Amino acid sequence: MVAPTAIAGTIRASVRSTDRDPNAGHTRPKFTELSVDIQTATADLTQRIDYDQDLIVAGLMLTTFDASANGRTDGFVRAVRVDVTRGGEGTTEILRGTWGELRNLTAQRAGWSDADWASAIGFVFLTLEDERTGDRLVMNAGDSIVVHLDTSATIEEEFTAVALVAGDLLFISRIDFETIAPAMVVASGEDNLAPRAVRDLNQVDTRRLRRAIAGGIGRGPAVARRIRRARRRRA
Amino acid sequence: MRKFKEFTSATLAAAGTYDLEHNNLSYDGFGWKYGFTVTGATTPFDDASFRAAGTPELSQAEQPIIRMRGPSWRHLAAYSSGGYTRTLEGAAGTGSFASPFIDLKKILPGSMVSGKTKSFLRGTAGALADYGV
Repeated sequence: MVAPTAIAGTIRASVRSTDRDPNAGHTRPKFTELSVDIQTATADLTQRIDYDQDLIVAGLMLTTFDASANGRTDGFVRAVRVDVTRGGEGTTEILRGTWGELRNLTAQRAGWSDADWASAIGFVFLTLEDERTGDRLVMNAGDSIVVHLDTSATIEEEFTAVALVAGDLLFISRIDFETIAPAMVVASGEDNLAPRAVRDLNQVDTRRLRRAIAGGIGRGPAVARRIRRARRRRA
Repeated sequence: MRKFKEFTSATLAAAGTYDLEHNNLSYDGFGWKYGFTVTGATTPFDDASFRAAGTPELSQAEQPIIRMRGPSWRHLAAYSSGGYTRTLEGAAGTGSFASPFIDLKKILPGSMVSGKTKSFLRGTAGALADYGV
């Protein structure tokens, strides 16, 4: 078989509107993608993601690309680990799981059927959360995430290993959101972002909250009181 | 009141460019649809219809809001909507389409794109060899 000789059609785009006022402040998507060369089997292939502005991280999407089959496969990545490094907190491992565990978790969180699971070969969505900031992982400028990939361990029973070759890739899609602060929108238009305005999210001063936690206040009721106070102050 | 509205549309062939625009409405859901016919015998690859759209970029004021390969749009749309929607990756002489729609508020409640600035969907369609062999 050969490639087609022609493709021709029409591309359209559409939106579903919202009645909410953007001038009141909102979060705007900032989804980008990078590729990782995974052509050599290794127990720890790392990909570092540096943050040069304050962002809310909803998750990371991982999609494999099998160059030999020109498609996706579950036969490459055996396990994934995610470390987060944030100012004042050092490095914390926040996710570690096998490819199969993460595939199933993705399907469960999305409410997928078996057919959807089968359609999602070679794809996982890593949800990253921080309960201290409303289940949202807030990354400030200077923070970083490192994704560790194991492509050499024994593969899980439900998958078949695929030998890595030149051209094999893993795409990492960054599902981030940036905060558009109310004052900035009113003052100078939508184009001006408010890079330090993540703290406005949920009316919680996340920097202050993080400093408080780093200073020895434990989790639980004390943190909850801090959150309530911060919200009242911002209201 | 919620509205469902289209951008401008454009004809698109393999490796061709597109530049669609939209104005006035703020939105928390966004999608695109590329429907096309295929000429010449071929066996489509995984996500072929989505790869045919290239790397669609939603932008405002020259800043990318969403820039991902077509297949990534497909998976994120499935994740945000609770399931993979119908797609069609046809061989020669058949109509094919890819139609991802991303529900922003299901990924992060409260997220949206302001209608105060024009939004654009831009990109370059995939090459013929990206579709199948």
